[in-house]
Amino acid sequence: MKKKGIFFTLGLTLFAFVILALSLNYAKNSSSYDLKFLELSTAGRIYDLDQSLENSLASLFSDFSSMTYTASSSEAIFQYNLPYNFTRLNQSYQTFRQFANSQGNPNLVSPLQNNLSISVQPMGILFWQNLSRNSSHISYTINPPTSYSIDLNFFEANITSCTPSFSSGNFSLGVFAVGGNGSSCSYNSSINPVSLGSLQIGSTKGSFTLQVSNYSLSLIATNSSVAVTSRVGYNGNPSFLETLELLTPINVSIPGLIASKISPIRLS
Amino acid sequence: MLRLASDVVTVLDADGTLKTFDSVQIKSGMISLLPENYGMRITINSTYLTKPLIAETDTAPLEKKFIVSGKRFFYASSGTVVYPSLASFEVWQE
Repeated sequence: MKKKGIFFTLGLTLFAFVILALSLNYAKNSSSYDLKFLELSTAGRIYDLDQSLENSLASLFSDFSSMTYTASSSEAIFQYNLPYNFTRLNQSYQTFRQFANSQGNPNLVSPLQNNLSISVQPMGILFWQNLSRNSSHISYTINPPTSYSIDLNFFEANITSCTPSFSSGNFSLGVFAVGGNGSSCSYNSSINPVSLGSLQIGSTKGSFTLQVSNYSLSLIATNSSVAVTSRVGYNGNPSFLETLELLTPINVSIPGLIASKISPIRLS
Repeated sequence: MLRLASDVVTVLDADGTLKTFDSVQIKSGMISLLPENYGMRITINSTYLTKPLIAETDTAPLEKKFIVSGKRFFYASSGTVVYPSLASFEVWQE
């Protein structure tokens, strides 16, 4: 009888300790739960704001840049005119940026770089323009490209000369230019992509220069107006598509909250 | 609830309803997307509008009820003119 009493008391005491331990654990988790909830909802709000900005700016770039661009696992294609007319895109981007930056965070949207750097990620191919030179360029930061294929349209201007100057090698370069009255210039060869080589195209309305050096491509329109389609080939991972990013960052933060996110604008 | 509200506004943006700047259409779109016992308000500020546009469901939030809020940027355009806009939303359980 005495032993039963002792065991009963011990059992009750043990049970009380278990309840106490559970209560303490619950109280501890409850306070960290509030913090975690705040962190999650903050992250959610920042993510939503960042995504909506990115979508808007990517859409704006697509609507107003007068460029088309795509990227796959093996090549990126850029279509545009040289000289490039930056005004339309710049004006619309500035209008959006002014509005967005007046909604609480003056650094939310960065100014648009006038060289319009577009990066192919994760391959590390970079496309950019030099507006003052009427030129466009493709270079690399990680892996060099494997080929270039360029189509040029000189519209009504007649192509009058086509002068290549490349050292031979194992890098594929293809150029096809058409002009008025059925004139054309075609070059298809394996070149040395490291040493400087060029193709000079003359027309009745100015000239055009294509240069390759250290795997980088430059297209320069001198007093000529040309529609350009540039294809750059690379050895990407066939399991996923490369993405195109405009290297103009968005800085999303919410006043009063410590979390923030800085990201480029994904175009594709 | 934040995901719910964000998804509703995302759909209304994607299908162009927000760009109509029509409070009746936006309210109708909200109601069709929200589950039955939820209320929502969307306030749009835009360079297209002279004053903020408000679209909301018929029941206001009760006192001391939990309300989730967020924002979404979008733009409308007419030719070469861009009208940047901000949709601020709140959602609550009725």
